[in-house]
Amino acid sequence: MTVTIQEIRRIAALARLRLERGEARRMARDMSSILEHMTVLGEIAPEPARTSGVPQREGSTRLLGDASDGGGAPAEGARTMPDPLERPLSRIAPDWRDGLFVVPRLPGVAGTPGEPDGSP
Amino acid sequence: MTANAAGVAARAAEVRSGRLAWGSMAAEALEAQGAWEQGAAPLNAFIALGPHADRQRRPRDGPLAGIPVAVKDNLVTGGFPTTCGSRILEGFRSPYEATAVRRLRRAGAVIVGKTNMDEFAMGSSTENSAFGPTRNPWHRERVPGGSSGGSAAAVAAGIVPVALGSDTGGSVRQPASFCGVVGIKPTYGRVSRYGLVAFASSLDQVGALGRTVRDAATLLEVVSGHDPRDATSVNRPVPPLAAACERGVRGLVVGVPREYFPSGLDPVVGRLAERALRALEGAGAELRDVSLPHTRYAIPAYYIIAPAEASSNLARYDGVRFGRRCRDADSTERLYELSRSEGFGTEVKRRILLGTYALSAGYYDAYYGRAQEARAAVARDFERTFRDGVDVLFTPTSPTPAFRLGERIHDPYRMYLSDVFTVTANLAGVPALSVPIGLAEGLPVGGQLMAAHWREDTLLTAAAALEAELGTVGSPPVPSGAGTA
Repeated sequence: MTVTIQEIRRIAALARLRLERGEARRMARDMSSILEHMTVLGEIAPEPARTSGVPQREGSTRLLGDASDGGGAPAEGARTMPDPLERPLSRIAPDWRDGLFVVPRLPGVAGTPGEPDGSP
Repeated sequence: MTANAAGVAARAAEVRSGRLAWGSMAAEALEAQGAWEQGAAPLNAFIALGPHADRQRRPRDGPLAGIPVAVKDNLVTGGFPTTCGSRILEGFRSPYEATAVRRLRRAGAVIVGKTNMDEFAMGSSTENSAFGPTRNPWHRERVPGGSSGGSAAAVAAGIVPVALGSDTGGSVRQPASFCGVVGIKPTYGRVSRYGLVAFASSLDQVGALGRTVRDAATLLEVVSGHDPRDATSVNRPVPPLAAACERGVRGLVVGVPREYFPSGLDPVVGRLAERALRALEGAGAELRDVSLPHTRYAIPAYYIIAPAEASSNLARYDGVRFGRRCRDADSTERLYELSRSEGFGTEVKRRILLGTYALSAGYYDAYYGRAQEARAAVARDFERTFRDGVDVLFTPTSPTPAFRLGERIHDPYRMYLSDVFTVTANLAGVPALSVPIGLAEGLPVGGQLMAAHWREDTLLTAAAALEAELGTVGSPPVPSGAGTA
């Protein structure tokens, strides 16, 4: 598997990264070497499977009808957890004021002292 | 022996009873940290040190009353910057606090500092930090492992008795192994990820490191439990984890997966693992050979899935919403590009590119789709093994002891192979732990235990039995002027 410098530049543009010439060459070499080891994944036989290590029946994120755990509604008597999104938004939002989400102030826009400046 | 030397439960009890001053252990921790920074090869375990304990107005009771705790720098923490070891977040202060950190404070802990780490937790040596590498306290020319290398080094050096880390592919267990401490990654969903800066969201978990199994268990018990602010946090009771350390292993079935003992395994690591297995058998456990046949696909699958998720999670660092901003851009697009290119280090760029490539048109099915199939196959291996009556699996944590600084940094795939025994637990979402099992030419070696979902108690039972049978590996040589732990 060889990744060309042109491909690296195309991917870097998608990822909003600017690479210097030497850096692009190094990345192309490294990616080619790494992807060489990934070819073993071609041996895996495709089959319907869940795509997460999360225990499906116990999490609050279980989706009804999810093919990964048999699908359909939960069996009668089964213990199900409430969906967090069923709760009022005000209880989920990190900050909520007067019926609105409080979000980071945009640069250059005046705000009240003490307002948060954003978070990852 | 100083106040940090005994188990955290005993020391917290002394603080609660008034026999030990609340801030005394934190003061000792800061003094010890200073001593480890002296000389030509400073440990560099911390990115930021905290306000003095007496200025942290927190409850003086609780299971961690007065205990100094270090926190990996990817958990947002009030009163501290959170950088993730990256230039792009240099000086960033979060307006909110991670749930795990909030629970520490509520339990009476004193946060003494934020620990060094591979940038955005991408690495296995803590060399990929914008703040310079952390050194291994056992041998200063060796790496401490990664990405939670600062937390593991701080605990091993006796600066703090316990620390928080995060584990996406082994980032708590591998440094615990290299530094001779205990590190546990809980079941996915056991500890809230709220306030943990995302790397690969389907794999990330907050983990606990401690000098002893019981200390790590005490810390994990404090931070575990449901959190409505994290939709992947699971609402189920947390069993008494510290108490689980008192049970014996008589009758416990220990699976020994042959795929984790390859011919290329470091011979000393192999011998120590064999000795640990005999110790478990001697304590009454039953050993059983098992096979996890899809293990060989784990590293390729992990290094597709994790970078794919990272490429999405790290898209938010664009120089506009927060983080470093390039000052010379003449357009918005160029602002994004230059801010990201200046702010991210080489390994982060490599993984963003790898993930973007794997998700791009024409390659998605061949890489990402296949990697997800492999992940499911790895998870099925674990399910079948535990369903067949195995209680815990035992493996080496890493194929080698700590390697030299600079030895693998220019060979990314060789570095990725450091995680070959640990990524499977993240792919399957099961809990896993590393416990010291001996020294190889003066360097610690860890043994890994893995159990079925939610069976952290079984892991801790087996680990405590190993600790009792083998003894601890002791402490690295303490620099003059440093406190001991």
